[in-house]
Amino acid sequence: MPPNLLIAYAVFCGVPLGMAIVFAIRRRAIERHLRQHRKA
Amino acid sequence: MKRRWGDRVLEIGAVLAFVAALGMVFFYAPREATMGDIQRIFYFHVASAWIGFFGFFVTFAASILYLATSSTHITGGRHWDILALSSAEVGLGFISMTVATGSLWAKPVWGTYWTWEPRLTISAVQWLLYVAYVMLRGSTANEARVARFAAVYGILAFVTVPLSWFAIRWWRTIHPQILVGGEMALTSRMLQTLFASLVAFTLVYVALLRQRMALEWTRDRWMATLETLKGEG
Repeated sequence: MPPNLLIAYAVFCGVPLGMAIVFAIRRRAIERHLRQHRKA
Repeated sequence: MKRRWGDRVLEIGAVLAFVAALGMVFFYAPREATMGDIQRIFYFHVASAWIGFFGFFVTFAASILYLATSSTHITGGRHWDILALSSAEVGLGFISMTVATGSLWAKPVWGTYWTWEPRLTISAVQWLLYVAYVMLRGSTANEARVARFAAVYGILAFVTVPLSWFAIRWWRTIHPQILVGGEMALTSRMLQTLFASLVAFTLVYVALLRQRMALEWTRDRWMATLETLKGEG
């Protein structure tokens, strides 16, 4: 398999996964702030 | 905000479809005679480009609806604004993959990672325009004003999608075409693999879009809480 092909498919797998992780981390961080304010 | 079970099912479906399409690319699609294995980039590259274009179309349509409803709707058309910005961000991710993997394909086939031919030039301009859109949305200035400006921008930036689509038909270009003389230049196995990739990327797009929209709704609740606290203080 040519290395460029493997790099390309690593990009195809990594970018959507990376976006999903970033969105989830950001949402959870805001939710944590919201919960802390509700408790206070 | 608890995420609904429907979102979980969608995410699992997207992962399964993605893995299935990946299997078809490497084990089902035949080896192309001229380019060899490097041609296998084509399946996800094309699917990613089409879904990126679709994402920008959603931004275009949602921006029109936002401008049409922002002054009359009780909620100020905020849901259309959220849809527009979420779709632009996700669409930009897909177009970034398209540009990066196109370069990886071009090196062994054209002998260069990049050349300023019409399709690639329009893709570069399009990528920069949507990066600017996302940066604009990160602005901390008056939110309603930024949303209105971004809606107009989202409508105008969409012109790059038909331009990119027709670039390979209108101008002399070295970019390959799937449709030659109105017919698909692919074998049936290649076509099935492309279709499977398109289904997988559609599911991934919808799952990411819903996730990004949920993030924005949560952010809105956080901003409302801050406003309440300011009022009480």
